[in-house]
Amino acid sequence: MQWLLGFLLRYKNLFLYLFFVISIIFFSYYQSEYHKSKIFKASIFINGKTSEPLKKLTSYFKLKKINTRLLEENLYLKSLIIEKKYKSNFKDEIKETPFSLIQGQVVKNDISSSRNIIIINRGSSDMIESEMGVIGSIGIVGIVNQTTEKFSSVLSILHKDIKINAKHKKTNAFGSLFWEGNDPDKVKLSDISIINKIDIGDTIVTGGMSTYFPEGIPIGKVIKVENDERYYLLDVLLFNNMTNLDNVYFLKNKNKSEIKSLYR
Amino acid sequence: MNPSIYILVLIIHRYDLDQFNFIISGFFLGFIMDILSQSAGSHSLSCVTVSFLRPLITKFSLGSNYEDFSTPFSSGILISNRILYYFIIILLHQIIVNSFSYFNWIHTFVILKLTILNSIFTFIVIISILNLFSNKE
Repeated sequence: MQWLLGFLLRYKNLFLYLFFVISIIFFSYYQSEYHKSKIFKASIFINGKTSEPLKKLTSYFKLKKINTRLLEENLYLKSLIIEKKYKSNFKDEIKETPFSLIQGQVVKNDISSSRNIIIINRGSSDMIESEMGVIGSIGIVGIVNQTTEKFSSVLSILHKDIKINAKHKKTNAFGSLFWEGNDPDKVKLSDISIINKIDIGDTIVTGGMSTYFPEGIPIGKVIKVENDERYYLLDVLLFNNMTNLDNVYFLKNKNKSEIKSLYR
Repeated sequence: MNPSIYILVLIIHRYDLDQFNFIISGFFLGFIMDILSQSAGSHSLSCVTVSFLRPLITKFSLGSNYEDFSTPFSSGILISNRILYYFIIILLHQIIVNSFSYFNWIHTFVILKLTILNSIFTFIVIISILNLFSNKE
């Protein structure tokens, strides 16, 4: 306090001068419209120049918050896409999609074995159940196998025992999608009849014939076409990069138990 | 051309008085001029700046032993130093008045022209007044 007082007294003339200069600027701001506009422009310029680096610095610390907000936004947009696709199948009547989304984050992701499992930080306490479909930002990821209270294990589509109902987007021809256990970015699609015309580069999407995934979720594109005179065997390059998964979405099907009961 | 004769107050003010009060006096002098001439604060700013910088101007124009003198009329001050002292104060005052009045880089040439002309005119008038009221026999 003593130091501050000494400092103020030592530079009292400078402080008085600065005080008067600021008072004069205020005076001219209210006295003259010309000065008002000039001072206003200058203040905008100074404000812009000083706030830019400050904003850069503060935005770095806000990244986590922004990330969470973007994930929420993605969740909402994805649910809108699913709803739109679902509604387009029922032109005459307005139907609510049975699928809702729950966001999660990959904790562990294996791609080294032939039966790969992904661990995600959402469990039964987050309404996650087994046999729920899991999708990534641009394609499918797998199916929930087991859940604990806080975590769930997902059978990746890079799992030899998994078969997913998929279809050729152009012709709507259905087939079975499976992984042979080699490349982590390639899967096979079989059982599509050769009466359908399939070209390299065509898109493969989910078929909607299972309770796991709604219809029309992108899977990948055809890179190789083979046939055995009756059925095609297609090589599909996955849209999702399975080696660097981060944020994923669980698909909760409200009608699952009802559909399952019909199989019994 | 418009000579600022009131600047004489800042020129002849004694050196050995407190600068704090001098800055306040300078501000009110300029403020009165602003009110009377309906300007936007150019006179206040120039007077405050001159009164704040006057110790530096004195040191520069009168030399390192400026503390020996109590007024610009003290004996021992060379006429050239005295003229330099007057001229710096007048020039500084005019630069600030004109710059603040126009407040735009586009008018730099006009500001310079007015500053030079007004400074010369003010200088002549002030020298004349000082000589007129000089108490030398």
